[in-house]
Amino acid sequence: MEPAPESREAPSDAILEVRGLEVTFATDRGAVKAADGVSFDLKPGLTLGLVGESGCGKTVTALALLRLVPPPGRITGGRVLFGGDDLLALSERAMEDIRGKRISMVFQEPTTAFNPVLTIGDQIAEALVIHDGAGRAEAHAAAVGMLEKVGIPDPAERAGTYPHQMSGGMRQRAMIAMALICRPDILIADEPTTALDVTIQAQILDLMGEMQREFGVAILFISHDLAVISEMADEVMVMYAGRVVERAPADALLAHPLHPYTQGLIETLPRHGVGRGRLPAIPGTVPDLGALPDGCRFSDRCPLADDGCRAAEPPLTQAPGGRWVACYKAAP
Amino acid sequence: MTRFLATRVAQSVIVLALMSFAIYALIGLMPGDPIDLMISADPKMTPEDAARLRELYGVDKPVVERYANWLMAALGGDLGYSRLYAAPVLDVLLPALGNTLILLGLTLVLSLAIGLPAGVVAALRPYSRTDYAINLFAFAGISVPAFWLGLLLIIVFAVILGVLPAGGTETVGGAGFWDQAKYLVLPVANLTLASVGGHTRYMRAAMMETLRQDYIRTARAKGAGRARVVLGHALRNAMIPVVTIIALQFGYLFSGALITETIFAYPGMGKLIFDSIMGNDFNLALVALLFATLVTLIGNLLADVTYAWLDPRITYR
Repeated sequence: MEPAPESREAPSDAILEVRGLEVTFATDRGAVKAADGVSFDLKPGLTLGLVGESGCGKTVTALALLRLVPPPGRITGGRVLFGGDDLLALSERAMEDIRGKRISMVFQEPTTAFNPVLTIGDQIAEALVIHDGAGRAEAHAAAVGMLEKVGIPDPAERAGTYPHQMSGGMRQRAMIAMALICRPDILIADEPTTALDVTIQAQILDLMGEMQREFGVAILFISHDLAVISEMADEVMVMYAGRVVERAPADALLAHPLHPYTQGLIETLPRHGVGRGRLPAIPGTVPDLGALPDGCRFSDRCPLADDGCRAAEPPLTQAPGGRWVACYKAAP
Repeated sequence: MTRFLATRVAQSVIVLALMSFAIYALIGLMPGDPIDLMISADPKMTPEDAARLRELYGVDKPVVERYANWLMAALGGDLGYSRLYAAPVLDVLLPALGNTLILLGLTLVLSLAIGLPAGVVAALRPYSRTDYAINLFAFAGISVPAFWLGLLLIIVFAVILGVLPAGGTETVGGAGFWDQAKYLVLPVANLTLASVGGHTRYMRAAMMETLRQDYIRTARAKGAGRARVVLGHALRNAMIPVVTIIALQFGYLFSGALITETIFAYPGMGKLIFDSIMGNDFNLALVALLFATLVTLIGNLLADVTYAWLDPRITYR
C-alpha cells in the first residue's frame, strides 16, 4: 500500500451525517435489527469504506440512506442529515428529488441492475430527464458523453445497444455513468466489483477513483473484501452483525487494527511472499441476528472475550488518532 | 425477421395439411355417415338405393382415397357443399366467421382493457383491501359457470328489465348498426366476464414478479416516481408472460365459445362446428375445424412477433 497523500488527511465538513440508524426486519421469529445504531459521516471528495461479512448489514445500511430498504424491512430509528434535512423525515416525493440527483447508487450485479428491455443510453439519460427536465436529444447527448468519460469505446453506438449486448465490465462502467450523470454529491457503491473478474475489478476501481477526482463526489464504498477496500478508502468502517465495531483512517486501521474482529479480517488476507500454509480463518460463523449472544455480539468468536464482554454490549468509543472502536479489550 | 416469418408461414401450411388429414380421418371414424341419415329420413329406401347413394357420394371408398379426392377439389377452390344447410360450405362458414370475429375481438379488447389495469393496480398494493377486492371479482369471474351467468344475464336484462334482446344478431327486418350492437351486448358481456378474471390474475402475478427485480430498484434509485417505474420500467417486462396467455385464449375463444353462442342463439363458429359434427356434415365440419386451427396458428405467430417487439433479447433468424 502506498502512503496516503496529505490532502486525504485534511478533515472537511461532512456532507452526510448518519446518526443511530436502525433498520428492522419483521421475520417469523420476531423483529431483527439488520442495522443497529449505525453512525458515520461522509466527506466531500473522500471515500468511506464499509466492510463486513455477508449479512452484517452493509447493503441494508446503504439502501436505508436512499430509503430503498425492501419490505419487510423498515427504518425504525436514527437520522440521516443531508443539506440541512433529515432524509428519513422527508416526503417520498422530496426523496425522489434526492435519489439519482444528489445521492446515487452503483449496484453489485450489473447484469440484473439494468432493465433488459431499454437501451443503455435511455437508462443513463433517464435521471437527467427526471431531474433536469432534459429533452430527449439533449439527455441522449449527455449520456453518450458520460459513456465516453467512463471509457466505453464507440459511445454513440453503444448508447443504442441493450444491456445483454455488453460484457459485465462494460455494464458496470455504464452503471457508473448512469450514477454520475447528474453530478451527485454522494455515490453509494454496493460491492461494485464483486461480480466481475479480477482484471476487470482493478479497472473499475481505477475508474471510480478517477471519477471521484473529476467530480469531487463523496463515496460510500461497500465491500466484503478488505483488500479492495484498502485500495479505495480514506476511512474504513467495520460492521459486524448490524453494528459498527470499528472506524478509523484506512492506513491506521490496516496497520494497527484495534478490534479483534478487524484483526481477524486482516489476518485472513493472503499476503505476497509470506508463507504457503493454510490461511487463517475467524473461528465460528456470523451469528443469527435473531439469536445474538449476550453482551458483545462477537464474544462467542472472540479469543479475548471474558465475562465482562458477555455481560454488556461495548459502546463505540473514541480512541486516539481519530479512531473509534467498540471493544473492552481494545488496547490503544 | 422476414426469414422467420417465411419459415413460420411454411410451417403453418404443413400443420394445416397434417391437421386436415387428421380431422378427415377422425370424422371418418365416427359411427354413421350421411347416407345413414338419408335412410332414416326416407323409410321407402332399399338397400340397393343406399349402396347406389354410397357409390354416388364416394363414401364406399377407403379413407385415404376419399381424402385425396377432397384435397384435390379443395386445392382447386371447391370446398364442397354443406349437407345440413344445403349451401356451399363457404357460404355457410363466412357469415359465422364474421360473427365470431366480432364477438372475439370485442371480448378480447374489453377484457384486456379491464383485466390488465386491474391486475397492475392489484400488484401495486398486494394484500391490501384494493387487492383483495380485485381478487374477489377475478376469482368470481373465473369460477362462475358461463352458462349460469348467461342465463342470469338474460333473466335480468331481457326478462325483468327488458332493455336488451335475449338472443340472435338483429331484429327481424334489420334496423341498422345500433340494433345489431344491442344484440352483441349480452354475449360480449358474458364472455368478457368469464375471461377478465384470468387476465387480471396473470397480469397481477407478472407485475408483482417484475416489481421485485433489481432493475426496478435501480430505477427507483435514479429518482423515478411510481408512475415512471410501473409504466416505463415494469409494464413492458411484465407483459411478456401475459402475451402467451392472450395468444392461447385467442384460439380458445374462436371455437370454444359454444356455450355462450348457444345460450344467446348467436350464430358463430363454435355453434357451427358443434352442429356440423352432430349432423354428420363432414364437409362443413372439416373446413370449420381447419379455420379454428388456422386462427390458433395465427394467434401463436402474433405472440412470437410481439415477444420480439417487447424484449430485445429475443431475436428471430
